[in-house]
Parts: sequence; structure tokens; C-alpha cells
Amino acid sequence: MSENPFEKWGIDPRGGPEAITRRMRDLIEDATDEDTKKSIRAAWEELTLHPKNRLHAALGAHPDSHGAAGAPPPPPPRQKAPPLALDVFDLLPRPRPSAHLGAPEPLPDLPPDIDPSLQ
Amino acid sequence: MATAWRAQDEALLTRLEDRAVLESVWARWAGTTAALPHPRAAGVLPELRRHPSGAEAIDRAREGELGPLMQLLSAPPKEVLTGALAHHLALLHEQLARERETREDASARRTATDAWLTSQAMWLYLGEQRAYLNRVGEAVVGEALPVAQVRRELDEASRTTLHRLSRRAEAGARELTEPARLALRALRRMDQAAAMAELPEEPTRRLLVQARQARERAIDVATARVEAALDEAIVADAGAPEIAPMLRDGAAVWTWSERDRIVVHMLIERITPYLWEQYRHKRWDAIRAMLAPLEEMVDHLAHAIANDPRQLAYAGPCAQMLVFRAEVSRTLSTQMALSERAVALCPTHRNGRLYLADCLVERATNTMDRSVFLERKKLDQVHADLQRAESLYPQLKRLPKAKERFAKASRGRSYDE
Repeated sequence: MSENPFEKWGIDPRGGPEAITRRMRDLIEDATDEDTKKSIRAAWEELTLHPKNRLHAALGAHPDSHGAAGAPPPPPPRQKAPPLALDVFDLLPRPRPSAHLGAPEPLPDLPPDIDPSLQ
Repeated sequence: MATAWRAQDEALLTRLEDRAVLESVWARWAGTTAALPHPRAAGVLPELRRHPSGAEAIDRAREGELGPLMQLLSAPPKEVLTGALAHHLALLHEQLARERETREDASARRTATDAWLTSQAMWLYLGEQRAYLNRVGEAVVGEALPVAQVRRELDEASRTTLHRLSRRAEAGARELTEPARLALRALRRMDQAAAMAELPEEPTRRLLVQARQARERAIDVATARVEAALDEAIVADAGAPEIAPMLRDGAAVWTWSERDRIVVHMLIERITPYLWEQYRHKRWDAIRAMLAPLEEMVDHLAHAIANDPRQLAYAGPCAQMLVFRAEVSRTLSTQMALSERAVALCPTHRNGRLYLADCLVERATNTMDRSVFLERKKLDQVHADLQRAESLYPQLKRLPKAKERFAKASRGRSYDE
């Protein structure tokens, strides 16, 4: 497996910190052990909190030239937004809607007109 | 219901086919057991496909004919290069270099140099072209770093391979490792990377200066151990049996460094005063033992000096080593040959001129010793030897007596004085 964090974790470097955070969040949700979660968090910090390291890692990663058929994808437009304040809580999995509905079981897959919960 | 073949399906198929083609190329380049590049490395093919010759080479590769594609990937013409293609190739060739360095066969390992240099050529191209690197910089860090710092980082990126080679050379210098030796080899040939990237003159000059400095730093690390050991042994007045192995270590560093003259300069500087000390005590065997490991290096340096006027500063010390060798040689013919070389290398070298003059007088005297009556040809030779000896070193003590003897032997024949 590649040691380059962008290649290792399957991230397009040109997406910036937001893309890194989105991807790392997905990976943490899927991670099954604490060691993996720790290494994902460490990689997230390295890439989002240290722009110089992010740049070096991007230069060490193959660009994603297959993004569009027959041509490389255009880079994202430059944003003039204020610096994004990210912290480790952005890595936390988003709450699942079902947790707030109080339903002990998953909702049945029924049309509205015969769904007993809507009668 | 019929399933439509979507654009995404075509894109995925292309990606998979490209990956298969790249893996075939990789197997030919790096061997079938080498770790494969990251799947994204196959992006080199859509970049190449943008040019007709690239598209054709890829089509032929899909039918099993890999040659044209391998040629394009090894030495892409400038009209085919894009920023992303150069980026892919910079990374691919670095990975290839690292794989080749691990090969058992020495000639296969040497091909790692070509891969290193191709990688550096691609970074140089990116540095000169600049638009691609600027786009990467903007997309990856945006305004998170000051503009001047991003510019500096991207400037350094164009020297990526050189910096890596520099670190590898220094890291392995003390142990004279093979990866360090191959890194030194690549640093020495940076002009090839510059030529491949069509780098202008001034950036080429700066690149070569950096490469030379990186080599020198690594060689300094390699020689430091030998230098320290020699200094310590000489101060302690150690004998030849202790010092000769250190000089052999120095010879090993010289071979590892691809015969860099820095190593020879250091060894000659260290050992010459010690050799003079042995000379004063007439310890000829000790001198012979210490000159033996240096012989090939001194000959190589003498040849380099004769062909490169920039190295004239070392003509004198190198000539002195030849004179030492002459003095401990066992036959007059060898003594003369070596002292001739010393004087040819450094015509003003006092000891070289003195010793050669002495050899010429010796040869003249030997000729006169062989017979009371000498034929004309032999007289001519003796005359020439004595004349040359006088031109080289007129104060030679043996000369007046030899001339007097010649005057008697040549009585009745005219020789201009």
C-alpha cells in the first residue's frame, strides 16, 4: 500500500481540507478498531492542520487523471472564503436520524396509505 | 428491459484497461515481482492519449506491442508532455528507480540511474512550465500559506529528486552502501536530466552546482572516517602495516564515489608529509607498502590533470607521488618512466626535474661504463642525456664529472657545448 496519505486513503488532493475531512469521516465510520481510528485521525490532522505538509503530500501523489473520460478533471475553482476552522470534532460520525425517532426497530418499507404509523 | 451502456461504465472500463496496460509496462520495466504503482498511476495513459502518437502507442500496447508506449513513457517528447503527465512520470520513474536498485544484477541496478534522472527531468519540466504546479498549489493550500512561501515550496519541488538523492547519498556514505553509490552516480549525471528537460543555461548551471555540492557533502561523510583514522595514526607515528590498510579503505571510498578526485586529494594531502618522514629515514619498504593502495588513484588523477587544465592545482602533489614511486622502483627504466611522467605533468616540479636529471646521468654513465670505445650512436645518446640533464637541473652534483668523462670518451668527435 502507498505511504502517501492521499493515495493510501483514496483522497483527491485538489479537494482541499473539506474533501479530506469528508473522506476521513467516512473512513472513521467504517473503521472497526481503535488503532485504525487513531491512524485516520492522525492523518487528518497532518493533512488539514499543516498546509505545507499537505502540499508536499499532494506533490507526492499521482493526480486523478481518470476523473473525466479522456481528460483530466479541471481543478476546483479557487475559493476566497475565510480559512476553514476545522477541528477533530468534524471527524465524528454524524448522528443517524433513526436514533431520534425512538423506533426500536427499523421503519417498515410501506406505502404511506397503508403505513400504520401514519394512520 | 435493455441495459444502457453509460458514460460512467465506459470511463470505468477505460480506467481498468489502462491499469492493465500500465501493469504490463511495469512488469517489463521493474520485473514481475516488483510492487505495482498506485492504481492512479494509470492516469498517465489518458494524459498520453491527448496526443495522436500517444493514442496510437496505447492502442498498440493493448494489442501486446509495448515498445512504442515504453519509449514514450521513458523519453516523452515535449509536444506530448502535459503538466499532469510529467507529474505522473516523475513519480513513476522514482518508484522504478527504487525498484531497480534492489536488483541482484549489478548492470540492472545501474539502470536505476536512468530512472532517477528521468524523474528529475520531469520535475525540472514542471518547474520551468510552472502553470501546473501553480494550479496544484492553489487547489491544495489555497490561502492557507503566504504566496511567497507557496512559491518557495514549488521552486523546491522542481528539485525533488535531487534533494532525495542528496539525502540517500549522505545517509549511506559512512557505510558505502549501494543505494548511496547509485545516488552519487545519478547526482554526477544531472546534466542529462537538464538536457532531457531542455533546461536553459543558467538554471542548468545552478542545478549542476547543487548536484556537485550534494556529491561533495556525501563524499565528505564517506572520507571522514578514513581521514580521522589516518590523522590519528600519523600523529602516533604508526608504521606502514597500520597505515596501509587505512589507505586501502580510502581506495574503497574512491571506488564507491566513482573515482571522485576529492578522495584522492584528501589521501595525498594526508600521506605526503608522512612519506617524506619515511624517505628521510630511507624506509623504502614502508614507502612501497603505502604507495601500493594509491597507485591506481594517482595514475587516474594524473591522467585527469593532463586532460583538464582546471585541475592544475594538484599537478605538483600528484607529481610528487610519482617521484616517490620512481625512487622506490627497482629498475632504472621504471624510474625514468615515472620521473618523465612527473615532469610532463608538472614541468616546474623541482624533485621531478632533479630525479629525472639524475636518472639521465645514471643512464649516460652506465653506457660509458660498458665500453672504453663507444660507437657514434652511443656517444650521441650519452650526449643527449647529459644535455637534457643539464637543462633539467644544472646544479646536479654528478653532472660535472659525467661531462668530463664524456669529453674524454668523445675525444676527436665534435659535440657542440
